[in-house]
Amino acid sequence: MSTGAPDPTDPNPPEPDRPVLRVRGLAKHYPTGGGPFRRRGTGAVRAVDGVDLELHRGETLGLVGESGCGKSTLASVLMGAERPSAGTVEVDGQDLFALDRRQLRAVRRRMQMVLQDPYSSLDPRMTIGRIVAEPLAIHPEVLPRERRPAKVAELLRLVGLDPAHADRYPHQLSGGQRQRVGIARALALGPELLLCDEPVSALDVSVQAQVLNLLADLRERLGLACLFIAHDLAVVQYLCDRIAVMYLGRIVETGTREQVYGSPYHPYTRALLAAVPVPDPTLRGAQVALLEGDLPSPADPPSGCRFRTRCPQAQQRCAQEEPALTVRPGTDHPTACHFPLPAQVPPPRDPATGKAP
Amino acid sequence: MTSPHPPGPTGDLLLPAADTDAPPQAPPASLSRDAWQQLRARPVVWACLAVIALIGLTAAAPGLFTALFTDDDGRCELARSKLGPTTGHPFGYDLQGCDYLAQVVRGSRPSLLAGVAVTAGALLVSVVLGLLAGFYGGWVDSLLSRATEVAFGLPFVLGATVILVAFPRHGLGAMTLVLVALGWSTMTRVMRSQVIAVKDADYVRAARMTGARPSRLMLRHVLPNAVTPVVVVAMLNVGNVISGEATLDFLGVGLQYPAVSWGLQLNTAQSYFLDHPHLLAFPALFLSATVLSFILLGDAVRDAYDPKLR
Ligand SMILES: Nc1ncnc2c1ncn2[C@@H]1O[C@H](COP(=O)(O)OP(=O)(O)O)[C@@H](O)[C@H]1O
Ligand code: SF4
Ligand SMILES: [Mg+2]
Repeated sequence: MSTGAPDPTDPNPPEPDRPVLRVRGLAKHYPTGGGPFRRRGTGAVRAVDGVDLELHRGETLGLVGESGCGKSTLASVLMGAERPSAGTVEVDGQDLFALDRRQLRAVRRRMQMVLQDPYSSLDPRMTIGRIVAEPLAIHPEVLPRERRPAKVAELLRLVGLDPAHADRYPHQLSGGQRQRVGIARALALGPELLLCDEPVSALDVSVQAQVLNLLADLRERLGLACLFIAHDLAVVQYLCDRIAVMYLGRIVETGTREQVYGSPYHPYTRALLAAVPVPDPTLRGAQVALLEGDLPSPADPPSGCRFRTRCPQAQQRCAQEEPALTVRPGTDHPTACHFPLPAQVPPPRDPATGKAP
Repeated sequence: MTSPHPPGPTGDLLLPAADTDAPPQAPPASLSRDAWQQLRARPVVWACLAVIALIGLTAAAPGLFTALFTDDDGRCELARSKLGPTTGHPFGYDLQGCDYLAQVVRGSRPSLLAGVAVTAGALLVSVVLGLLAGFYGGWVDSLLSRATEVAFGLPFVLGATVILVAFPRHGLGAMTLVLVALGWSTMTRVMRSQVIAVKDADYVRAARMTGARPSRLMLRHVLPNAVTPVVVVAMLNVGNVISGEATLDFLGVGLQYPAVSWGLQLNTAQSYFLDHPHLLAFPALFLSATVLSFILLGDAVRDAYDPKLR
């Protein structure tokens, strides 16, 4: 692995505390319609629409938002699987989409992804051993062939699987075991950066915690930087150092875990927090489900603030002017709302919040 | 969705324990093993296999059958032309006065060779083209799809007749090529649609994101997961190829005398079958049994692999 010793041929000399991953103004639009008669610019699904992110070494960033807000699209652009419509992705200072093929292969060794669905992400015709060894076969320079079986056994042990499982096929494993295989595969090349796209949402509730524990433990032991995607705030609560809340292709609030959980300013963040079940049963009655209605179509997002169609605090200005993601007076972390909610703990209890004055 | 049990505050995490979710139910065997188990239970499959094995044996070792069932010494006497079955010569004699059983047994070879060679050739062509078209899409796909449509539109018998008449001195090799050229399109379509269904699967995406080259994606992931239905279609097609080859022989545009084949024997028999029905009956019986066996077997295999098509 290439951590540590500075590479003299590195065109970008390491600046102090350079982020492992830096995303600027990233957008991914899918043209709508299609077919030979499509005219340019008629319309597009704006799955990701101007996202800035930074991820530092050893840090875990939680990316949270409802289904359909563009999280997976963002992840696949970050992995270089799709080209962005606008913006840049820098991995350790190198622009991912300006690399030639050889450089891109080198970068791919350093960033790996755990996919959401452990049932579809493992090739049904391959044994577990071959699945975990595949990254090593794709990058043969990492490890000589004769040492790969031992490495596979080590990886399986690392994720809590019996190395004897190497001869089995995916369908012979449970969902949790399969996801562990997916994690082992992602770790095979010794990455610095791990993208986890809802790694537990397809699993039984009873095994989610175990797989989350495993990820947290591995991240600590291997010093991984981690982008952890989830559709609710409950899952990321214990894992993440920083949180970014995404709504309809944009980041609407971002800060440290303490900041976001302690004083959420954006009405959407607060709604997501209200949906997190509270362990203490005496507090449960106080929860209000603020989120009503469906996510608007990313093909035709609302003018101004994208959340205004569902926001209880929406005012006229929200429809006219798009709120920027900045630190506003009286707040301590960036939020994209004209009228950030006052710092307030615990979350609002008045069920009749209604429209703000 | 509800939240998982919180893993507790970060820092003091336990080592991963074995997952507590349900161990896999009755492990679904691999697709091919499943299919084989279904096939094994059906008598018709065994009957078809027996017929095919027998015909295969006649093609491989015709002398064995001649020695076992006839007194044939290999000589032909015009005096015995078209005589019916007698002791020692259970199928009678053909037009040239040769032992008809020996002739019919020899006729199985071109049929089986054509069936196997054409199927293998068409399978190879369609797997390669379908893989390229489905995987790359874009202009590769457009080009190959147009070519497939053209080939699909060619009428089988007429197309083969036109080509074969244009090259009169052809043997079985040339016929095989012509039949492949006319028979690859259906399988290519099946393969292409399978590849399109498989190529965006998560496991292919995962390999792509790790940096796998297209060749690896195609050969290691897409091909093994896409090829089964095409193989099934190919097996279904063997019977059609055999009857197609016999048809061309019968029409006089396929193999030519002195080659021996069932189609040629039927061609000869058509002028005499009212007075000498054995000339028609025996090759027709062998041909029908072979074609039917392949078709029934293909059906059974398809049912076993893809119950939806039943
Ligand atoms: N290939 C695509 N073509 C068109 N629209 C897409 C494509 N991929 C995703 N989308 C759309 O982009 C939006 C975001 O999708 P996704 O990134 O999968 O959301 P999430 O992972 O947050 O649930 C959705 O509205 C989805 O329909
Ligand atoms: S800008 Fe307006 S509509 Fe948007 S979240 Fe803030 S208050 Fe609600
Ligand atoms: Mg998703």
